[in-house]
Amino acid sequence: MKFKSKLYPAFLLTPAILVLAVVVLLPTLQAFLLSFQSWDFLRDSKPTFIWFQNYIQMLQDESFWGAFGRTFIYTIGSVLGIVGFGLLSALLLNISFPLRGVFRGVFLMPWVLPYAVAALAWSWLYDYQFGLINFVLNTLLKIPPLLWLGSSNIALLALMIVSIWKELPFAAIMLLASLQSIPLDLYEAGAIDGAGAWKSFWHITLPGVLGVLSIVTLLEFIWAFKQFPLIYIMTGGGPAQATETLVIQTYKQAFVNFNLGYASTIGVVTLLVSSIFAMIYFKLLNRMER
Amino acid sequence: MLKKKIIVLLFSVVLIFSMLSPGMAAVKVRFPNWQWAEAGFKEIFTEVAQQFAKENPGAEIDGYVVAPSEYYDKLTIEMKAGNPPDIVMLRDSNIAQFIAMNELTPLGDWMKKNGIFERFIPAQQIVGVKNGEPYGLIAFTKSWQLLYNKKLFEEANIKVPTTPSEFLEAAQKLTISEGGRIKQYGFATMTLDKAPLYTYMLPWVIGMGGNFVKDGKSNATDKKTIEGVAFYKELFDKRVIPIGVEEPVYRQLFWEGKVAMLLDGPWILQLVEAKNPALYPYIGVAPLPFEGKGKYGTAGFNLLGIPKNAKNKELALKYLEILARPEYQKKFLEYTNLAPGAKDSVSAQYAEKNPWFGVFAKGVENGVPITPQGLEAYYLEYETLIQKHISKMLFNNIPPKKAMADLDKELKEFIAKKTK
Repeated sequence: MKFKSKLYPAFLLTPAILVLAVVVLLPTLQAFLLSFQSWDFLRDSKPTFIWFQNYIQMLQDESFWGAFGRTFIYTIGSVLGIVGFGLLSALLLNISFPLRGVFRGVFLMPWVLPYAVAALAWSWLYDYQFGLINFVLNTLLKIPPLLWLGSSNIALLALMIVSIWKELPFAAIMLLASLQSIPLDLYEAGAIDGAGAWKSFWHITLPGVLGVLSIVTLLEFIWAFKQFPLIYIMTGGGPAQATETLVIQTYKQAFVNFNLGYASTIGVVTLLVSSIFAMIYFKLLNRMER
Repeated sequence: MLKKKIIVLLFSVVLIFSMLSPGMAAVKVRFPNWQWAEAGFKEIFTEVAQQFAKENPGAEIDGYVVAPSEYYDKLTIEMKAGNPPDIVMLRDSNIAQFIAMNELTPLGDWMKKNGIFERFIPAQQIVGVKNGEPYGLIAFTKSWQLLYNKKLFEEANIKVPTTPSEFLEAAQKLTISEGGRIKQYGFATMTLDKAPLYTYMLPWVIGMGGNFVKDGKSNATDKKTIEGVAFYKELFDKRVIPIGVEEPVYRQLFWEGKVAMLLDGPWILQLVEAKNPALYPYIGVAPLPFEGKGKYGTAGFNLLGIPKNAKNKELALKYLEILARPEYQKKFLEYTNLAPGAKDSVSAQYAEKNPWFGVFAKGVENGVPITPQGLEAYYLEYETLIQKHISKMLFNNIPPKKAMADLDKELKEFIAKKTK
C-alpha cells in the first residue's frame, strides 16, 4: 500500500513529464549535440562532427562578445527598472484612493498585451517622422526629434523602456499581493518605537516582500535574458548590431545565415549562462535569509 | 423517440458533410508574393488567377502577401521543411542560390512545349539557367533610375542633377526644416540593416566606377568603391534622407510629395498614380547623376519559379502558361509599367505615351547585374555581409575606408570558403 501510494503521484505526473521531455528536453539535447557539428543548412543534407571548433570560433568572434555584453546591459537595465518601478508602483497602489480597483485593472493592461502588438505600437510611437514621442518632445519640450530605434547610442535604451513598461505591471501586482500580507500591527509597533517612513520601509516592508521580490527578480531576469519578439520586431538586432543580443544572434545564425551548428553553440552558451546566474542568485538569497 | 432519431440523423449528416468538405474544397495553389499588395501587380496577378479558376474548375490561386524583407528567409525555411509554396517570385540575384540548393523544378520541357523560348526575350535562355536548363520564367525586367518631383524642383528653381556634386547640392536645397523637424527631404533611400539596403546603395558604387566584387575577388578597398560608399554616407550624415525608415514608408513620403528624389523602379509610377493621382503628371524620370555607363545603374530580372516539392506543380504551370500568353503579357506592361518577358510587348504607342519608359529600358540594356560575379549561388549571404558593414559605417560613423577594410577582410574569407 505504501509502495503504491508512492507510485501513484509519479503515475499522475507521467504525461506532463513526457510532454516536457519531448517539447523541452529533447530539443535541448539536440541543440547541445548540434553545437558540436557543422551544418550548412542550405547545402549539406547532414551535419558533420567538428567537436569544439564551433566553441573556439565563438570565443574568437567579436560579434559574439558584443552580443554577450549587450544582453547583460539589456537584462540588468530592464530588471532594475521593472523591479524598482514595480515596487514603487505596488507601494502607490497599496494606498487607498477613489477608483483604486479600476486603476489597478487598467494598470495591468500592458502586461496582458501580446509582445508583437506592444512592439508594433511602440515602433510607431518611436518613429522619427511620425512618432508621438518625438512630436511631444519637439512641440512641448522643444527637444529635437530623436532617432530612437535608428541610433546605435539609444536604440538599446529605447528597447529597455518598452521592456520595463511591459513587465512592470506583473512585478507591481505580485509585490502588491506580498505587501498586503504584511501585518499592519508591525507598522503600528514601528510607529510607536518612533520609526519614520524610510525606517518602516527598510525594516518592515522590504523584509516582508523580499521573498516575492527575489522570485520576481529572477523571473524577470530570465524573461529579459531570452527576450526575442520585442527586439526582433522593433529593431531586428540593428541598427548595425546595436541591439543584437545572444538570442537574436542565435536566430540570425540559424535562419539568416543557415549555420545551424554555430547557432546551436550560441544557444547552448545562452542557456548555460542564464542557468549559472539563476544558481548564483539563489545561493546569495539563501545566505541573506540565514 | 422520433425527435431523438431526427436529431441523430441531422447530426450524422452534418458530420458526414464536415468530413467530406476538405475533399470538396477547391485545391489551393499557393503563391506568396509581396507584390499582391502593390498597385499594378495585384491587378494582373488577380486577373490571371481569375482566368486560371475559369479554366481549372476546382482549383484556385491562393495569393498572399509576405513582406520582401522576410520573403526569401521564409521561402528557404519552407523549402527545407519540405512544405514550399507552389509558385514563387525569384530574382536574378538569388535564383542561382535556389538552383544550387536543388529546390526548383526545371522548366525547359514546359517552355519548349509552350513556345516560350521563341516568344520571350533572349535573356530567358541565360538568366536562371544552369547547364542549359531554365528554372524560372521571366516575369519582368527592371532597372533603378532617378525619379523626381518636378513641382518641388520648379519651386526651388533647381535643375535635375547630372553629377554627384549637383545631386548632393540639389538634395540639400530640397531638404527643408521647420521648427526643428524636417518636413521635406531631398532624397530617400534605404538605410536599415536589412534587404534591400544593398540593392539601393550599389548603384552609387557602380556610378563611381567601383563594385564590391570584381572578377570573383573582393574589390571592397578599391578607391572607386570607397568613393561610392563614402558618397552614400555623406547623404546619410547630411540628413538629406529620412533615416531608419522602411522602404514602404519612404515611398509613401515620395507619393505624398515630401521627398523630392527617389532611386527606384518604374513600379513607383504605378504607386503614385494609385495613391496620389494629382502628383502623377509631375513625376519625372532621369538617369543616375553619373557619366558614362555609371548613369545606367543596375539592372535585373524577376522570375517565377516552381519549387521542387510543390504540391500542385501541374496547376502552377497552368497559371504560368496563362500569364505567358501574349494578351496577358501586354496587360502586364499596361498595369505595372514594367517590361515583361515576352518580346514585342512594348508597342511604339506605349513608348511614345510614356517617355520615361525609355530611361528604364536603357537601364535594363546597359545596367550592371547586382549579383556578384562568381558568387551567384551565395547571394543571400553575400548581401547580408555587405549590408552589415554598410550599416555599421552609417550608424556607428565609421570612416568609409575603415569600413571597407573591415568588409574586405570578411569578404575574402567568405569568397575563399564558398569557392574552395
